[in-house]
Amino acid sequence: MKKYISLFKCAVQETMIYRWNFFFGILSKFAVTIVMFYIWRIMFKSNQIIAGYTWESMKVYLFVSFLCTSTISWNAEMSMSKKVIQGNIIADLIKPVNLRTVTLVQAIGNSFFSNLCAIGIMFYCAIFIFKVSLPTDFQIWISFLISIGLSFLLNFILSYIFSLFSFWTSNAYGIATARSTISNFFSGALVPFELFPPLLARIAFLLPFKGIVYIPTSIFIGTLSGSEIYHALMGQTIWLMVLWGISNLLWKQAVQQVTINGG
Amino acid sequence: MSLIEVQALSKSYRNTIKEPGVKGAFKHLIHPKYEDKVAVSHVSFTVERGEKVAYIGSNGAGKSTTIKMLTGILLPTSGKISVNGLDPHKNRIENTKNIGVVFGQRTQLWWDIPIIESFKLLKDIYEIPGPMYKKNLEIFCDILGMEQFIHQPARKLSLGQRMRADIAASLLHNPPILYLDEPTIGLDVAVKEKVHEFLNYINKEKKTTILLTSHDLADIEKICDRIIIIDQGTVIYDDTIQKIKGELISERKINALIEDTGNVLEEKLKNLPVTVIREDTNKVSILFSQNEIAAVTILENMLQITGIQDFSIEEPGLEQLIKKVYNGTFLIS
Repeated sequence: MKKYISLFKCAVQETMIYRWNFFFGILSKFAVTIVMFYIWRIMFKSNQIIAGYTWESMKVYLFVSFLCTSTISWNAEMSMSKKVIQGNIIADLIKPVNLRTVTLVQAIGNSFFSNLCAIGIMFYCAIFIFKVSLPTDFQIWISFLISIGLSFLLNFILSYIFSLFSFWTSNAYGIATARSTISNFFSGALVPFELFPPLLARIAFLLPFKGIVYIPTSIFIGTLSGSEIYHALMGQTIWLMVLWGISNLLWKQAVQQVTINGG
Repeated sequence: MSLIEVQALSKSYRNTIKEPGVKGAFKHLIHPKYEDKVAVSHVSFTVERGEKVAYIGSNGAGKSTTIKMLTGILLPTSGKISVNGLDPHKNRIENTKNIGVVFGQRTQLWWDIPIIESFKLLKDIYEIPGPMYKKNLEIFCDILGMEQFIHQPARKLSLGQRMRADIAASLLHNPPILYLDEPTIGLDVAVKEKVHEFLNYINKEKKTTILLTSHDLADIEKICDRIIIIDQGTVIYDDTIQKIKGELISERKINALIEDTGNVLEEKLKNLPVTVIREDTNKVSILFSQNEIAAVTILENMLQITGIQDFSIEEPGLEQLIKKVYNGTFLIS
């Protein structure tokens, strides 16, 4: 365990070295959310209610979806694929460490401070500028925190699984782009499921991506209640376990595929 | 049982074949073609504890591939490896505790954080006890001269500094086995000497087994006592360095600066099994085979008829020997 704490510390240190990178990293996190905010505001100028959402609840949706999607940075997602393609994965393979844990710890460490700052700023804006109404029920907060924790792990394991494909494809960018496009759409990060055509909505409910944005957001807004929350959390947990298992199988295959180019 | 046992080890890579041009690229996209390239073929050898082995061969001979299979990174296509009783690929994590690895062309140090932080991380990763870590760090810093740069991040180091730090990093956990893949590539003579000194120290003090690949024969001569040569994926020579020198070449060359005595020297040496090459009126080279005549006998004969101002005996370098092994001009028993 201690080895991973040290690794975390190194990962945190690493991101602080390049100051501008750090600041722009935080800024870029807001860009999409700000664009989305203004698009929706225009839509709500002509409609009071869209697919069951009022402007008030849509603001909350955007706020929470920001929290859910910003936890794993693009860099963290690319780092594993890059290691595989550039061959630096050697440095990890010759050490007594589990590669998935290393990737997870590095992902958390690399985005730790920028997330802390971004979430702080976002809470400030949400409460004082955009006047988002936060839930007052204590139970909702508890379930939301559990759900967003699961959301983070789901997000991680999905990007990890996708990055394992780079053992076969020798390409990182395409895989990461494909993943984030699919994930953004089917998690509900772009548009809530209520606005999907019925068939797509049904597919979205079957996939694991809903646990990344849609479930925590619905808990936060209050669309889910009582036993529905419980079922949603169970759904997230089961998907997490299934994907964890899949990543184990995939890793066993991937590690036989290792070819280190050059040298 | 030997520390490292390699039996009939083979590895082939699958390469894609792309025909030239846009048409070829398009064809490749639809219907890719592959060919299997054999990198290592039926390699067998064993290494005992404490040995210092050079694993050499021309570029692309399969050296690095073998090392990568020994470390457990690559899965062999066929054959068996046992390192300290473990299959390195199957028991990768267990195996990593027994080995230190240096890849000259890559670094395992963190690029952006100080070297000392990378070391501290390794301390926790390998669960190195505090006193052992402290002692090792002290000795390594001393022999490798790392004090000046240990607080710098890896990206700010020169190649020589980085390599020294990498070698130290691979040995902090006192592994019984050390693999070095071209550890002195691109280093200057002074740094190379430090590295040689350090590796010999480690081998002597800690009985660390060293397996090293290199194109630099100084590395091999200064460090190793055994040499395995592979060519096109197969072992073509495996014996001590002394033996390769003695067995393959006993030829010597005396260069002497003598007094001007005309042709008396040639007359005197006529009956000895030597070849005299006169390069100047007072400069001669004498070729002979160590097995047939001792250098002293030749010198005695020379001194009887002429004074010698200066002389040297040249023995063929390992480089020439290995070149001859590659070319197949020497028979190997």
